[in-house]
Amino acid sequence: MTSKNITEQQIELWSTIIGNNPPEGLLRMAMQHTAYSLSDMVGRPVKIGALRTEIIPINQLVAYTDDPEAETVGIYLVIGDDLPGQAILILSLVDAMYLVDWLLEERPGTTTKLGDLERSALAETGNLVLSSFLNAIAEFTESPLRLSPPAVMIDMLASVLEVAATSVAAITDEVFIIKTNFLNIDSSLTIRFWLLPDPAILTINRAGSE
Amino acid sequence: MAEKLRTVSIGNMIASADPNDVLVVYGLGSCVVICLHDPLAQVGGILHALLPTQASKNNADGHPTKFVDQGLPLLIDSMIALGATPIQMVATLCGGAQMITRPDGNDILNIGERNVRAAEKVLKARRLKIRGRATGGHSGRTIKLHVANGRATVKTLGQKQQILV
Repeated sequence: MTSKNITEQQIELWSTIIGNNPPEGLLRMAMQHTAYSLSDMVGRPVKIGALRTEIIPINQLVAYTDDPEAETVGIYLVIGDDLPGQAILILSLVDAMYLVDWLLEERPGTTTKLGDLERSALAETGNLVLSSFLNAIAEFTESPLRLSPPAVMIDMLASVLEVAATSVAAITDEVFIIKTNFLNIDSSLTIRFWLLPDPAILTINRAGSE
Repeated sequence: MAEKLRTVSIGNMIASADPNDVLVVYGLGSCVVICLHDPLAQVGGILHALLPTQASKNNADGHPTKFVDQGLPLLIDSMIALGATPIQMVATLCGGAQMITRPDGNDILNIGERNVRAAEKVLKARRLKIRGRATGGHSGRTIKLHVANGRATVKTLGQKQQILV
């Protein structure tokens, strides 16, 4: 994480986005925009679920899951410039293969394993989701925003969540998460979308409010 | 004898003298797990650390068991309090995988290897021998330590459970 040199501009932008809890306004608009883009990409209706912010102690991240050993796909991206942080899209392995079928225009059930092509399609989904989100924010705030190429993990759910914990652990004992789900009702496909501000934002915000 | 699974969460430790206890860490990635067991005292413990050492003392509320160098002495002390003797302890070392190549090229997340090295260093300083290990690689692992007999097992996604010690 780029926690060492957080600027006032970065704090202000994250504060604008986080706003209230449940977060509304700019964040909901950006998530809605993202859902439209995702819908365009897969050719099916996608809606957003509840939009929430949560602060979870690192040591409760595993307890936070129903099945820590569940086969899971995590698509991980880093955000730079005025909105430092990271983002993770989390899908069950079954949903990830279902999504790949849509992306590759195959019949549902065609994909049975995730090779290079399938991983690339999933990475592209991560790219589209986060770039749509950031574009919506940037259009409103006129802030320069940048995202990294995506990294795709296929492993146990606890291993995917550990990446989020490790990235903040040097600064804080808690993970601040802005979360929602992208849902396709017809298939019950669910993509969990987590945004994690740079942990220094949380630390500075707390110091400011004390 | 009914086994009792006790999850050692990220950045925590558990020491136990209950022979029914099976200490478990799910989905261990770049973190490092140090299992210690004293077979004579039947005391076992696990440290599940995220980072090799505390980078900054400014992290005032930092939990010491997040860090290998601070957490391991605490685990040893907790086991001694339960009747263990350091010279009898057997260590098993797990984790330290490189789960992802960080997209921005920043190597701070590729800390698995550093975690393992830090654990080896602290274990050596404490004169504790490593009897089993499952470190490195690119996959998550589930680790179990049976307090009754010190058996340590590892399981990765899609693979059968293996006995390490």
